[in-house]
Amino acid sequence: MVDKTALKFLVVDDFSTMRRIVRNLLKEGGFNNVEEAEDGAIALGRLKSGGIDFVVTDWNMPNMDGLTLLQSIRADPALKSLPVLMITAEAKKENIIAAAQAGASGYIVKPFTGATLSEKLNKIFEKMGM
Amino acid sequence: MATKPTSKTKSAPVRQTTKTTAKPAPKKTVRKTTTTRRTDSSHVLDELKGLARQLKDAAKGLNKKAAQNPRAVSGILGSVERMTADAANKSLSEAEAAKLLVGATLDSLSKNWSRQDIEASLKLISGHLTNIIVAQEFQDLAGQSLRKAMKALVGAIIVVEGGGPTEEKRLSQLEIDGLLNDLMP
Repeated sequence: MVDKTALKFLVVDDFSTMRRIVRNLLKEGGFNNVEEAEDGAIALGRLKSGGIDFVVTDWNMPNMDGLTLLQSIRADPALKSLPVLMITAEAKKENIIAAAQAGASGYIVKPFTGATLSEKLNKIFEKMGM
Repeated sequence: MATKPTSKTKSAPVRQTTKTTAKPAPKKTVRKTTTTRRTDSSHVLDELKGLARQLKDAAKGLNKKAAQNPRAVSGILGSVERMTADAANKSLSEAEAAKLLVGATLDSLSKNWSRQDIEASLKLISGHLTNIIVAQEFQDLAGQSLRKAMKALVGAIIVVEGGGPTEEKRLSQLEIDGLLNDLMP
């Protein structure tokens, strides 16, 4: 059985405060291994260097948005199986459909609570058989 | 015990004297109050008119400024963003520090901390919580800046029919979960 708390998270958001909030909530859930990236381009570069087990990303970001990041992850054979949880203020039906079609593992709409994050993470872990 | 009776005995005669002195000349006092009311109300009206004029002029000036220099509005909104970010970071730092102290205090249960140590720790936690409360002052400053920006934008906004996201179009987390379940069973 995999030790979930040993997983390395990459939190991607252009707002440092939101990265910090997500980092704190992950820490609350026992996930202390967290890295941060401020946009999709930086995140993709970091992902390609390896070692990341889980991506939590915003949608609206400069340089590369969250959806493009997700599509890039799914298009990369080395990264395509990475779980990607989107946490975003985008809450229109077309956004959800686009995220689902691109292969999002989960979708959380802002503002959100720690309980919602925990619930979505557990759901993704279940799907992954963890 | 001694102060209560003395205050009662002192206040009673004063009321009586004011009543007796006020009775002989009720008309004069009424006249006085009406005249002062008239002068007060006209004065207040004048002041209000003056203020309305000033506000109108200020709004006109702000609109002109906004139309001529949208950077001014951008600057105001930029300062709001900075203020909110600073406040959020400050609150987060304080909360993180308080959580560390709570953790240490909880650990103390198995380490037999002294009552003084626990008290000191709780005082520190209380201090961090106070700082979080204080950090919310940004709302006042940000609110003021936003009002300025809103005034400046009045008349300079182009309303695009049907444009922009609306709250109606936003789905709740429950609706999103349902939609995702349908899309990705």
